[in-house]
Amino acid sequence: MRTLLRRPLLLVGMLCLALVAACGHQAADRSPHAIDPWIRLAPPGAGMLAGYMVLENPADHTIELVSVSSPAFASVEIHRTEVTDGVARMVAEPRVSIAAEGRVIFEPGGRHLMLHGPAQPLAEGELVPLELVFDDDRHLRINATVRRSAEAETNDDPHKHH
Amino acid sequence: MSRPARIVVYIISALLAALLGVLFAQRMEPAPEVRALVLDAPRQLPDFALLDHREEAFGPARLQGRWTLLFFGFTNCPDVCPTTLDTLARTVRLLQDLPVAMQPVVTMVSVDPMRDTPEQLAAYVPFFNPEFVGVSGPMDQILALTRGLGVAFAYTPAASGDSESYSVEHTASIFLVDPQGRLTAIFSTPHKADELSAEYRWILRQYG
Repeated sequence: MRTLLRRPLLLVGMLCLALVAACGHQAADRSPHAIDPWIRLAPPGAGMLAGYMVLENPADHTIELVSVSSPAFASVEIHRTEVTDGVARMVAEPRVSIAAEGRVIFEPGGRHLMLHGPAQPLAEGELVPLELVFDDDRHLRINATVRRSAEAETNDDPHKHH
Repeated sequence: MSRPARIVVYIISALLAALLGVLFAQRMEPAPEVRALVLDAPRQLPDFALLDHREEAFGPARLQGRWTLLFFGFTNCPDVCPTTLDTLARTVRLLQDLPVAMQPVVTMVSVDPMRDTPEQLAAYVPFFNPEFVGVSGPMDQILALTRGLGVAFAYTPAASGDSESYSVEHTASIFLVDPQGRLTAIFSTPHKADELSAEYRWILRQYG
């Protein structure tokens, strides 16, 4: 400590380093991130699976998700299920806008990743790599867990005692 | 008051008391906010001749004897159909305390018979619950059933232009068929296992 106080240049240097580190840390925090990405377990032979997650954008400007890919699937598209007059249809969403400090939800019955052509059948609990690309060329690599149901829905067994 | 008059008063009082009792008893079973559309009169289904996933004949006779939760979908559906099947699997689990004869049979009828052969359905439907039934068959027979239920479906080309990858828009409601094979109620989306099972129980109680 005494050394630092005697060498003001060293002190200033260390403070600058700390400041840069802090700025760098803040910039990393502003990247989009995915919460609880999961893929619904599908029967063997299913050609189309669905992926879900909450996608957050902590930046101070709108970003757009422009493409998604995975080595585990031939192609990935973004779709939204809409039910109109009782009829369910899928609407393609080539780009998804996420507002500044906002989030976009991918969930059953709503927006989802349409995962086409699995390279091989997926097992429950398996982690599947996904790469999300944004309009600012940022890439987000995530691992989606293969599950039968959404977490919140797995506990409605009346005979289960907690 | 004369004796006859008193007797009349007693009788009227007794009747009033009985009436109040009946009204009070009815209020004890409150009608819940049932979101399902329960038909005033159950509707007979049209004739149709389809096959189940074991390639056994599936016609109106198969809807007799048990309650059926019937819905329409296709196996190349990524979101709606697996979600519906999963919800129905959980609904059936919530109804396991009922006598087997009162538990519903879940049946998915394919609106994509070109790709959904009985074999394809056999690999798909029982995955969600081994008791679930998949149904497919000739298009004209599928249409006979869908028209009878007011179910709509249409094919939409895939964005990629690949002729094998088309999607199917379809009515997503779940249809409740009674043990006499008649349409009794319609559950529209969104579907939740706890709500479906509670409304199913309520409907069964109304039907005695």
